[in-house]
Amino acid sequence: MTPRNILRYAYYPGCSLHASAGEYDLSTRELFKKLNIGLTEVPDWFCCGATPAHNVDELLSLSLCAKNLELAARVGGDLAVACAACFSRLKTTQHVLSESDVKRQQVEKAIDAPVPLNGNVKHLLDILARDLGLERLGQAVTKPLFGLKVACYYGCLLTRPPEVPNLDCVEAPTIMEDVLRAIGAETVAWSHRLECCGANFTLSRPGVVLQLSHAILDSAKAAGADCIMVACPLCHGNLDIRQKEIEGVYSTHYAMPVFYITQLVGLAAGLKADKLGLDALIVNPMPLLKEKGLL
Amino acid sequence: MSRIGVFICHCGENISRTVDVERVAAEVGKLPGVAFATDYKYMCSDPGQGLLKKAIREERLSHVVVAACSPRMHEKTFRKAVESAGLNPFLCEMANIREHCSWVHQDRKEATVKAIELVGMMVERVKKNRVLPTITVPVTKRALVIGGGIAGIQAALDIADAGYEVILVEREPSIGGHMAQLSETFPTLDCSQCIMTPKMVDVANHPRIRLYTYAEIERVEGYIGNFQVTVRRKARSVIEEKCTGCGVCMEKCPVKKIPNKFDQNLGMRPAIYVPFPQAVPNTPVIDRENCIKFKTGKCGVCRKVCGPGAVDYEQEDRLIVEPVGAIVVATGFDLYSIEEKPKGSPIKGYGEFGHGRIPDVIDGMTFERLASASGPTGGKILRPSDGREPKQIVFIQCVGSRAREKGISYCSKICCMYTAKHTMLYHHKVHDGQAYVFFMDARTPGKNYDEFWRRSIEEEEAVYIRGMVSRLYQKGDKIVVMGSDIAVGVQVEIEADMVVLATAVQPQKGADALAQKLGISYDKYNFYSEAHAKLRPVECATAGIYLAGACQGPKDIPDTVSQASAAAAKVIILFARDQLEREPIVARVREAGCVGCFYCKKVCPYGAVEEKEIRDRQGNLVKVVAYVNPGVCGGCGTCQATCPSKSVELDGYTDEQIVAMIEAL
Amino acid sequence: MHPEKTKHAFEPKIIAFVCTWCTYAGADLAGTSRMQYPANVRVLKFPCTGRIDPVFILKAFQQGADGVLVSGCHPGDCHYIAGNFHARRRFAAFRKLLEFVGVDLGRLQFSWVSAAEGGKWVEMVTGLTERVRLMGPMQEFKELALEEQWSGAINTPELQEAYNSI
Repeated sequence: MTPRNILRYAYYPGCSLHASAGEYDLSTRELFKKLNIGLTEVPDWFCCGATPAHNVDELLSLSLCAKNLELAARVGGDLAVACAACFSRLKTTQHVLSESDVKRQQVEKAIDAPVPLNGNVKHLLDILARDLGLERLGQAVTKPLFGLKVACYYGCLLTRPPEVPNLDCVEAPTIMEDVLRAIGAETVAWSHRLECCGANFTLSRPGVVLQLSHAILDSAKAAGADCIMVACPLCHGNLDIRQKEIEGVYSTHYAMPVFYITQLVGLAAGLKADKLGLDALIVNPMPLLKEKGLL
Repeated sequence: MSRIGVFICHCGENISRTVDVERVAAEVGKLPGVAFATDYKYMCSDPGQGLLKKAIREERLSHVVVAACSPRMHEKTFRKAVESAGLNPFLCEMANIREHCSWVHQDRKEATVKAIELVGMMVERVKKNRVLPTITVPVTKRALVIGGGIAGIQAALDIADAGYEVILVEREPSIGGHMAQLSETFPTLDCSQCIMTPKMVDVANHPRIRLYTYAEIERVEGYIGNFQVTVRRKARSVIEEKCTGCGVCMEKCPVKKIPNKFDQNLGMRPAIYVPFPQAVPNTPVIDRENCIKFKTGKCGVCRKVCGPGAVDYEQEDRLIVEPVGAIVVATGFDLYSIEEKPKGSPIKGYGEFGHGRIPDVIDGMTFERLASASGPTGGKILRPSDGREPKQIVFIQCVGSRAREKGISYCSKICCMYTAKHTMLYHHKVHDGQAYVFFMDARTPGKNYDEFWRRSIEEEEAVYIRGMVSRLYQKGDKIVVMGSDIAVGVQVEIEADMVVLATAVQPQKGADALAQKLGISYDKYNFYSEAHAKLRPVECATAGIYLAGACQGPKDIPDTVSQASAAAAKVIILFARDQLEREPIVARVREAGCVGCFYCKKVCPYGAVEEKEIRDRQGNLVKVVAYVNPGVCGGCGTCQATCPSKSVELDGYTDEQIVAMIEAL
Repeated sequence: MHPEKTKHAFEPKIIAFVCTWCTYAGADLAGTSRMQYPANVRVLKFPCTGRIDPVFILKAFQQGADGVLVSGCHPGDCHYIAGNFHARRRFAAFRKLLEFVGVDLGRLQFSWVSAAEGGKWVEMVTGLTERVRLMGPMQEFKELALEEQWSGAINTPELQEAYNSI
């Protein structure tokens, strides 16, 4: 299939990207500008309800996403989503509502508009790897990330549950590794690529989060990774922001930078550190990047 | 004018609950040609059949319609009854008002109306039925057994012992099948080889068994009593009659490191090999894909060292046609592999168990080879990755089985028992080791089975954890098994040295292709279908073909042997007769109308249509017409639907009969 | 448990031509599994779909059928080796003819239902019944059949002449 030359998307950043994950938003916009991919932010978008809404009130959680889908449809084009949790909720809403007419009618009454069920919701990964394509992505690389050993962390929501996201193989996805190899980085084989970081419990049971995130960091380190790459602000929060805390509780030392996918791809595409928000990362990536000669 | 008798069955309450049988009898009684109509509680019972026979005699009935269950169930029963009352059996028809009416509808009024119409259609049809004489055909008293595992061996020995010749065809170079791979057998723990090899030798030495190993079924033609089977004997590159089985060729073969399938690829074999030392026949075969001689043309060592001169590089596949009267299918099973499955396959692999990429995650059959005294480790339980003895071992049951989301919903039946056996074997061999078993349910019906399972827990110290494993991953040289213990309600994590998966039992690859050659039916998993789940469990719906063993569904050894002997008994029953009566549902040509276009010949799948010359008294050729050989005709009727001049008719399904039914609508 | 039965203004007549080995057995399985489907269908058993002459379908429409279902073994599974392949080709051509004559092909369904697919049989019958119910009665062929009878009964001079000349 020949890729379309002009790529243009409606863009749903999600709450995190306007708060703790500002660098994800920044790097996404800058990278897409660099790659000539159009992004139009959905006007008046609001929270998708992740992660607590669907545990409390299904109708509410579906309606939140349905309204956002409806707003996005007015922009036109496929919807680009950066956050794995937003991606999962929006896709799940489409799935649930297309399976159940009753729920769809309830939701449509709640948001007072028809729900667009057929619009494509795409994660940034999908856009980079498939819409743009690995070949064109490779051509955009000016500074390949040679020698950087990356542990690709999918987390639990990008591929699961099996019937919803349809992004890649549920148990053995390769899409992140494909993107990284296209930009010259090295990927490590490790065991916790698809484990949960505990995002749901970030506030209510931080002990659980520490335990789960510790296992992930441990496994990445054991596999010989220099850094971790994520595609979700919630995973990032747990692995990066809480890393110091984990090191304290488990008396260990990682100093393992955690990048967003757009930051690493942006770096390879020749974007400068300030355009990628690298300074906003808690675990300082500069020593590693300097050591590998990537700055 | 016909005098038709109609008999409506209540089938206890099965029919009468939804269908007003009395009203049906009253309504069809009014139809022209119906001389007698009644209803009865159980038409198939002795008094029911008695009623039928009495009515035929007293009412001088010319035709009979029985409205009851499916004709697949009792058509034979009623036709026999009709025959014993002096009518031709083919003047009796059945209307299916149970499976097609009372069981599938709830509205009494609707069901009753439908039943009346169904019976009415049959009344119109039966008026057009003709007297059909039964056709007798001779029986070839030789049997074909496909598959040389324990099922095929048992069936072959039983039939041969009864005095009939048997052709036993096995795809692999040796008979023995999966049972020859096992170490010990449940529930007695006797060694599989010790009870299996004598039977294999019996087969080899039996004067009435002709053994074709390294052979496959190419084509099957004919019908019950008269099959023509073409067997492809693959080129062995070793002449069986000359080979003495001394084994020098295998010793001298320079290629030594080919993974041996018999040892689940753990052990190695040369390019000229027998799969295992007790193989029957003890004649090696050259694996042409890996042989240097076949790959490069050089080498030829085995031919040089072979004293009797048995090695023949030029040998080719041979096709042999064998006439047989009955076929026993015993192709056995294969194990579900957890590897990634191709897109579109209804069966999915196990990504959560590493898609088969972790070397110390093995399946049950591989464990059997490790535990077997004649196996690649000499009976020591050692890890395939580094040869160390595993001190913590985890067994996971129901891998693939009972997992609808993986594409298989059935229970594989044997895994609970063999896993219990594995924990025992492990405990006997690794005294300081600990075995854990994750299980959903323990299913141990069978003589001495539950006792055996309990022993694995109570005496052999296996820890059984009720719950499934969500995921396992490699951590250093350990495998971390994450699961849940639903009895206690906690998550469990075990660092194991080895994991054994009790993978699902599946039919052999290519089971569907063989079924298509044989013309037998199979289910969505490719297990072969028996004619009736309870009452005809060893016969196929296709006459003259019988099933034995795991090709019909997962089975353990005792069940397999029982079914094999049952299949043999069915064959022996068939062979006890010299002549076989076959249904006279065959096509006949109306020669006056036939113009000799022979479209029928083109479409006939049996090659039953012949060309027949019609000559006048002077011997001048008038025309050439089609002739259907009634012995060969399968009775599908494709010729009739194809014939442009409607000059060929299938007895029992004539245009007249069918149009009469349609017109009765 | 049982849903309330809805009354319909029009109950179509559905004729099913099926082979005895697969679809008839599949319909039997639907029965033994106590599945439920509309009572509109009447099943005619053939040894094989290969035996089913397209004329029977025309005949069925003439006799008042509003929908016809033809079903046999899945390709490759024919009890008679290849009958269903012949049927498949025959009906592919026949559908074109029917379409040419102006018959709505929604009234005619060909499918494969194996002996293990009781559920598929139920789906098939239910689907066709519902579809044909929406389409309404099939009049064209019925009227043709009536005309045929009528012209057969009438005593035209041409017919008389023809009889006399024999």
